[in-house]
Amino acid sequence: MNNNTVLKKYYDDMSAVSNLLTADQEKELAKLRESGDKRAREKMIESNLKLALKIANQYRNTNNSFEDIVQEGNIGLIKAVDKFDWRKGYRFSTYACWWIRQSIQRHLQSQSHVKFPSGSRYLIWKINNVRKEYEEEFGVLPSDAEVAEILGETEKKVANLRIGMQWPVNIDQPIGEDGSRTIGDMIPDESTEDLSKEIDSDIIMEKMREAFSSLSEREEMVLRLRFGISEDETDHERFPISQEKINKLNK
Amino acid sequence: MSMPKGQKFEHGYATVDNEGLGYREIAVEMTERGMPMKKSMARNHFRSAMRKFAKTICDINPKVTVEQLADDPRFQSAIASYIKREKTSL
Repeated sequence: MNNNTVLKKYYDDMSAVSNLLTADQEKELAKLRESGDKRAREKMIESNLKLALKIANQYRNTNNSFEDIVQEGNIGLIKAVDKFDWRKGYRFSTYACWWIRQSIQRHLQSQSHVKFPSGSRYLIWKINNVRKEYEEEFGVLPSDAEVAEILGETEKKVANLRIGMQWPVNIDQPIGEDGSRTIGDMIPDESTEDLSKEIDSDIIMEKMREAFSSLSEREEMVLRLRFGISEDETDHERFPISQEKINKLNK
Repeated sequence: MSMPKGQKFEHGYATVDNEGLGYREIAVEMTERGMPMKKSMARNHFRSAMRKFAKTICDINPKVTVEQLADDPRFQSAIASYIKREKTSL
């Protein structure tokens, strides 16, 4: 049975069992659930499965299994049924949607390759919000130090969390319209020489050789003497030995 | 009245290492080799040679002038290294 078949069956089952409850029915069932009536609890859960599915649908495009998201939504729904307090006077759906969302979001966050404690994940969420609001207000993204000051955290903690929250990318993932290239194809190999630099270097060296050959004899000799570059000592016609040197050699 | 400050170069002054000669010494050496010249002439020949090298670079990258580049001690040092490295193939 493939995923689509499972989902279809789930939809069919749900439409057969779940009917929306009125406010009074919710209140009545909540009272019964509180007194330990398991059937009332089940009835509340079944009647609100559509709500969990509707919220789960909002997270359909998150590269996660939709069945898992629905399942997490249902777990959140069960928690909501167990914690619902009918005395506060709110409709159950208002209360339950927070639990369903929280359950799904925790599941999605736990799928990250880097595992964060719940508190750190909450801080990441706050960092993202602060960065977004700052950008909307000032037109630029804030530095880690600014975010840390706003949140009352240390800059190091903010920087570490920002590094950790980066989502890993599969470098073999196809990109482009035809998908013929991967992300890996677009990453430069920094261990090899840049070909354009090598060509530029060759051109410059060739130009330098040309410049060197264009020097007059005097210029070349002055340059060599200035830089202390040894000359071809066997070429006495071009670089004659001075009388002083001959005297030194004869000593 | 204070003394004039003179021209200050951005990247210091070019110097030569132990094997290199000053302009006065070059003038003496060249004169001994049968090419008489004064130290100012030695300097002129040196600057003329550096301008030829600088021109090749400025043709490729015209962000600086030939004069600026030729007088830049970093450029002179680079040319010295280049000639020392390439002297066998030149």
